Amino acid sequence: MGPLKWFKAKIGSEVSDIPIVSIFSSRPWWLELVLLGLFGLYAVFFAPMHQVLLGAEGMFQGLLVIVTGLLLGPWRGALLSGVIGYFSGYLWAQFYPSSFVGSALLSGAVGMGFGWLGDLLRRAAAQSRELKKAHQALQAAEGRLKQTEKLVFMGELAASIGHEINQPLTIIHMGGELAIRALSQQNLDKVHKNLNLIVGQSERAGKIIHRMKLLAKKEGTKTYETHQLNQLLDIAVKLVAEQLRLESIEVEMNLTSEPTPVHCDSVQLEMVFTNLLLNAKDALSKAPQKRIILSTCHRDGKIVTDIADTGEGIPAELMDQIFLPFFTTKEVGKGTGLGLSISNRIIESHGGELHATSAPGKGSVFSVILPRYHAA
Amino acid sequence: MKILIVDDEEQIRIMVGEFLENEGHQILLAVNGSEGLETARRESDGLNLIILDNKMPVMSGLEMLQTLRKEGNQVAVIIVTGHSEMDEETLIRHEVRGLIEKPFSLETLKNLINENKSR
Repeated sequence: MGPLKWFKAKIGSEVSDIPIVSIFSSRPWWLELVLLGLFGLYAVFFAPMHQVLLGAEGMFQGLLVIVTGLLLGPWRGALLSGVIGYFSGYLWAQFYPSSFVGSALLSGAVGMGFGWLGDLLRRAAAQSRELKKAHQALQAAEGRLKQTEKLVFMGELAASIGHEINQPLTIIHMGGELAIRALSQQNLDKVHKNLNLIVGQSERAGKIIHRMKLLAKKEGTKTYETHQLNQLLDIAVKLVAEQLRLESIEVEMNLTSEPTPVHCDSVQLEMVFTNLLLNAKDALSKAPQKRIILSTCHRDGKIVTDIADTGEGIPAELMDQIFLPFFTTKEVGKGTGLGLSISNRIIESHGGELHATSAPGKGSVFSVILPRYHAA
Repeated sequence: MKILIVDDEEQIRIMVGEFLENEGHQILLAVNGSEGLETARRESDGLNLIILDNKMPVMSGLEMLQTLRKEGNQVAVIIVTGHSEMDEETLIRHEVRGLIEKPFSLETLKNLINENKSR
């Protein structure tokens, strides 16, 4: 028994119980060979075209035809694919009472369908793996971005904090010197006075450090919580108070007396407000009247914070560039050009908006609009 | 010596002032560059030294110094800074006699003043 007959007999015996007409056994062997040749021709010349036209990739038959055709030459390729196509067609012929070529075509179509579906599933799985990877990378990048942003802001604050903390340190140092000197002179009143001074100034230094800690806290913990926006503004004003004082800038606070709950990362919002206040400070450097007006109010379920200055304003032609990264009008070494773009990103990530309006010569207003938090 | 102390921090003014008074100096005080400038102009002949804080509201120490030098006032100046706010070139250009960084000790200040007295 040749391999072809053995195969036919085996498959035939396994499916012969199925009560659907098998058309195979009714045809003489030579007709089978002719059909085999025809199907081979179809498989070599038409099926690949079919499949290309359908745009289906990764289909077993088409690939087989092309590969065997290339490796063995068109005739042998046709024969081999014909054999396989024939047997898959033969199998299908057991189930469908149709002609041999028809069933072979049907098997091809079903094969194509499965190939296509398999391909689709594989791609979807690969895509989902890629998405998961990208999501993880994005989360890691976001964490690093937050840290970098914090460093940018801390850097801008560091100079001011350094100056601020040096004042009590100087007084403590001198107080100590004077107390030692007074002790050697047995002047206990003076010793007492200087020691009291040292205690008071240590507390002052401690308060400055405590404010800095507010910005540095919550590393790697859950950061979104409900906070009162008015309180965050208060902290931000205190953080830059020394810089504003050195520039003789007055701060007016018109904060709403209603509660101002926002669901937020408080450190990030403090950074935004600090940044906007320092920008206002820079805008006021040459202004005749140096004033920052800070106000909060409720509007359409949102909380609006306006930070207005009486500075020189922003020229109209620059207004659409101020939120772009690295855009700055400050001299080299003074500003990174990142403050407003980072602030904008932070506010957007809180579901809010950051707007700027400016009247050249009169001043600018930066508005932070955040959704009011409603407890569930 | 007649010494003008310009500092916006009241406690520092008082302590440095009292200390230098005890050392036998005559002391004048000013709370910022603008007030310091007025005092320096008024005392132009008798003033020997200015101890000048740099970071102050209204007018900084550097601004005050620049104005003084522009007006031809060559009084000796010791600059007090928080951290390296001023480069060497600026110090030389404005003929600054000494630089002292906060936090500083009264002893260091005394030594710096004595060095200047002997120059």
